[in-house]
Amino acid sequence: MDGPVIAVDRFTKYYGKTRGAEDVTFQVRPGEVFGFLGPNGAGKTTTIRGLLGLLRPTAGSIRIFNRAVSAASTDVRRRCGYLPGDFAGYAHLSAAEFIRFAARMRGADPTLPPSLLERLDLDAHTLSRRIKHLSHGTRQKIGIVQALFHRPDLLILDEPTTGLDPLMQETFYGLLAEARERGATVFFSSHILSEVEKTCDRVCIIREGHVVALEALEALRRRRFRRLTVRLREPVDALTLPGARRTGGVGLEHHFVVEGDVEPLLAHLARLPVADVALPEPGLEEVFMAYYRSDATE
Amino acid sequence: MQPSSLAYPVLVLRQHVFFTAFSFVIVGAIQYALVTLSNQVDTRSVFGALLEQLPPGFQTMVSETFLTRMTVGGAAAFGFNHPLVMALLVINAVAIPARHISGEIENGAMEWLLALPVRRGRLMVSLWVSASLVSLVTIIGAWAGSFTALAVTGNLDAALARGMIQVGANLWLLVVLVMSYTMVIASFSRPGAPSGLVAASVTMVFYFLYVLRPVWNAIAFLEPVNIFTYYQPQKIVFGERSFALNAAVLVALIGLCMLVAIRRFARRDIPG
Repeated sequence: MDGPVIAVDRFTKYYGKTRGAEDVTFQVRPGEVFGFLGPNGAGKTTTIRGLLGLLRPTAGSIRIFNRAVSAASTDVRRRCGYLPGDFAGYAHLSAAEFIRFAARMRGADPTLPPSLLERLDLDAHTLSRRIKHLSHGTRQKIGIVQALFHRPDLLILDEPTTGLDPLMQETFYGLLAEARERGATVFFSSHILSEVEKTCDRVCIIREGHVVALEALEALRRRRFRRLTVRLREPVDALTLPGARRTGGVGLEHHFVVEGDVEPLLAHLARLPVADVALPEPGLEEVFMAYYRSDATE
Repeated sequence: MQPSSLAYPVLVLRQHVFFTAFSFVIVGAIQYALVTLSNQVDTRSVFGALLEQLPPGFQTMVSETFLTRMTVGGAAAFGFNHPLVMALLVINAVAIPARHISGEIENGAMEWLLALPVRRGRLMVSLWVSASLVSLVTIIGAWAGSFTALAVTGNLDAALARGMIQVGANLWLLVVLVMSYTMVIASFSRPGAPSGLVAASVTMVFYFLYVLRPVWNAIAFLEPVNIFTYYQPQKIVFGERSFALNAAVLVALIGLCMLVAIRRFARRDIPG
């Protein structure tokens, strides 16, 4: 399709006087895996509920597949697969009954998808058990099945790997990659940075209801807040570096946080009696934490 | 393939099948026992002796609503007003909407459900139909018990049969009204709010005001707004009250409640 699959424009949601999300703006392109990062209470789930028409925005708009989203947008939701953050299902149904129920409600074929079940290690015994008797991880797998089995054009997943063991997480990443290969768009929220690094093309970071960063993963990683360690051969009075802020050090070793382009900094370092320089590639964790601190460079 | 319009009602009905079957059996048994007992025992003299022990106000109330109509037909109609029968029906009428609206909003199932290609109004109507069917099954139990006993005791005639069908239908409409205003309360409630308890309390207030009315004239002005005014089974059986009037009032109130509930539910935030 032309244009973005998801277009969120200044989405704002207040619950009375409490802010859920404010001025949230981003777009998700077709075929993209889009990560939505933020700690608890940042506004991730509020935004996701807005995407599904579960909440009426206080201000702003949301369009999916170029249609305005509201509670009545059944044609939009027909093309979506959704996994809620705290997936519960219907406790009194067996896992198999629940999947069939989801299929019927969607107008999809209620035949259980054997390959998907096999990959998620859901055998006949597990499927025959009532959802209330399943472990959190197994329930989450059932949630993944109901979100994926009808091959939706858009997957909206709220912290999908919660409760999955590492092996199952890898299987899940594989399923996401396959969905993407067949052209599906994936929007998923997470606070697990390693999975975002593995799977996402672009990331939106939300903090206290506001978008604080929206860019490609690589750009985000490269962008700012790199930690620099300089070890000098001899002391230098009042060492300062362009574009860097000293955060500490002992003796001849000095620690900085560098923001932006490092070229002027390296040129400046070349004129100093430098014994060693370490400027490691920042982990997403580091980038993430920088965005989340009120004073990001501290 | 189109989404199945039966999937959700079937889900709701399955969840309540045991309580529905239990209600069917208990209500049917009560009706059968009451009709057979009234046919075998001279209830008029037994209850007349008991009545003399009561204060004058209660004598008026009991004789008006109970004793003067303690014929076999009157007993059958009284069964439809028995506190246990009313309790079973009201529990279902209150519990089903409260559980499927407030309960599912609270436990997250509603969020998942409304993320499916489902219209909220349609979901509410499906829930209403399912809960109405559950109540209807209990009423059918009462009819089955009454008609069987009346036939066995040789008291069944066309007029009584017509009266019993009207009483059952009247009771069903009353219960559906309770269910409908529970849906209104649930659709306005915040997650975790005890909407079932609120609806049950409202129903209890209506019931006590109705029971106290004959001995407390000060509350006579509340009679037209009390839902139990539009359900008086013995008066229907004895042709003292119009079933059509009762049904018209109850149907109008049900329609109003459903309009409010659907409109509110369609506009509310989930979970809210």
